[in-house]
Amino acid sequence: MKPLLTLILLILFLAAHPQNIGGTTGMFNTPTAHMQPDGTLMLGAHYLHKSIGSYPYGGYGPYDAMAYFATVSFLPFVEGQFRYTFMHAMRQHPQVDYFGDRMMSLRLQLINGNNKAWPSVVLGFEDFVSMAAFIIDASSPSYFASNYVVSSKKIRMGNVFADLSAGYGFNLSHALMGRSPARIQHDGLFGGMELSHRRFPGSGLMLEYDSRRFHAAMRLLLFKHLQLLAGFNADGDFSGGVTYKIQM
Amino acid sequence: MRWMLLILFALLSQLLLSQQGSNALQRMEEHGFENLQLVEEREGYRLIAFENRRYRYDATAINKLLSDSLLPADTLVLVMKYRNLPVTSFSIINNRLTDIRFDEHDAQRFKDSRLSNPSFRRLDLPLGIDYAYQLGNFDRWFLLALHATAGLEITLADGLGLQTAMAFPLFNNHDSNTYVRLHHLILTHDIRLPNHVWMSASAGLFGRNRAGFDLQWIKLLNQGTWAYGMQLGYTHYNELTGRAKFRQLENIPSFLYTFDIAWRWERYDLVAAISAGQFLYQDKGLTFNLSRYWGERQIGLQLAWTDEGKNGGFFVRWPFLYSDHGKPSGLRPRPMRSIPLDYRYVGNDQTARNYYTGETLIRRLREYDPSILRKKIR
Repeated sequence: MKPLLTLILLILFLAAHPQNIGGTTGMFNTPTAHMQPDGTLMLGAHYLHKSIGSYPYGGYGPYDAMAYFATVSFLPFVEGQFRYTFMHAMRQHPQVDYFGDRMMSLRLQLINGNNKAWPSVVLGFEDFVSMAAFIIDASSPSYFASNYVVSSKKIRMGNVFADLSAGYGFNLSHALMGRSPARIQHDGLFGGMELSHRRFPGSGLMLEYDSRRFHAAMRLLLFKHLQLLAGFNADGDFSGGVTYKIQM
Repeated sequence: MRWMLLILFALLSQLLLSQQGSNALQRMEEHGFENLQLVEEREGYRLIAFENRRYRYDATAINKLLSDSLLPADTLVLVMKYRNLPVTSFSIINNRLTDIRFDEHDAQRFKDSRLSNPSFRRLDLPLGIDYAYQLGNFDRWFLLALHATAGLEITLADGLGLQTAMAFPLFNNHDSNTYVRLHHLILTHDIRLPNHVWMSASAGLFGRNRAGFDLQWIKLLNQGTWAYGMQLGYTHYNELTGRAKFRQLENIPSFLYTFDIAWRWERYDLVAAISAGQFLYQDKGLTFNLSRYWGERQIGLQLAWTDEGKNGGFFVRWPFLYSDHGKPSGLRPRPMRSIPLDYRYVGNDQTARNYYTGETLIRRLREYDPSILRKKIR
């Protein structure tokens, strides 16, 4: 039993450039400036606690949610995502008993710091269609919109890697039109650190601040393709899920 | 005496040479390749043309030829065909690929060479699925019409093919088309013209229940880095069972014309394309497509602006099931080649729509693109 426990703990101390709870490349609920290898397709299903995926729909929420997503490294420096998110256990309504929310996200790597002295830098637009619609028409709903710039650097210390990230989420709508949507996913400073072991790429332990809350999380990469992600906020609320990676 | 020996040596060399060429063709035929031709043979050089219908993707066929030593070990040019029309040529020296190009040989040379193991009048039965779907809205979060499809495809002559398919409903909460029906019935003639110009002329019942004719024309420049062309079509609504329900707008004749231009970023096999003109529902405007190719896999983005409205989305072409379809025969069942997935932000709109004209060389031309093939050949 003890060797098995040791093995499990060892495996949990690992990491590479996996994706976050929203399905794009990142830590737990924060993006990083790393990119997946060119042509990586990630299909996943993540459970989002309402502290992460807040849906204040119809004045009743917030609700927990399930996010189903496909994320692709379209070019080595461009990542795109399509996500369909459902409210969980939502109060029944005469017209609405199951709410599905579509969103698209885009990440552009401006600076690639891999194997170089300087850090990587990424500009991200999450749920950019909703944000654009909200900028044009204030009545358009937007729950997961986020615009950010983030910088990341991976540092090696023997067999252990420390992956450090820091970024800033800005309110594009407020900057352009002076109004804000119901919620901005990353609003202000965010950052975190992930520890991983050289022999176990794709798995790791994370501690982060997502501009609202602290999270502690871990991920495990099995059979080079299957990622399990689990994390808790400071109140002990759980979010997590499964992702399958395909290399094209 | 010396002259006689020289003549005898030359004759023996020629005999041995032609034996090697014939052996290569025989090995390729045994492997299931068709429309084989030994177009040219001289010492240390052979020009062989063939068609691959055994493997779903042509790069797999080339890899097989190279790895299984099916080819003679000298300088060789392999020309890959589609419906017996030469499309792409591969230069190979000692079983190593040295160059790929869209074929530039004089078409007459292929017409003058003897054809062995022709693919004509052999029936393929592609089996697959077809679907329509809608995400949301609200309480109807996922609507799906799923059909199994069974088709027939046959090559009748050079470039001339007939294809048809029936659709069998499996599940449907999306629309009222819940009965067995004809999916498409299309006669297509692909034509190779000089200077990398291709034409496809089609007539019949196309996808989206449009009956009529369609003409496409494309010119490739700089080995496919640039391409320009046009499409002309005249169709009207036709649903043979007479049971389909359709919007009023569907029931009018449609004259479609588009002018197209495309550019390929060779490093990433990224193709940016613009089409402008009048689309299926008589809306005028343009579309912008950005497609990334990873061999036979394709993911792309599409934006459309016409006087019918604006829309955007993405599309995916994903290989379906196994890559080895087995040797072609008189009657060969096989899976359909790929599963398409198209997503539009506004689902059931009529912006910049087109009909499905079946498999044409122009539709599949990027599969023969030297840049895209090269990255998948070991």
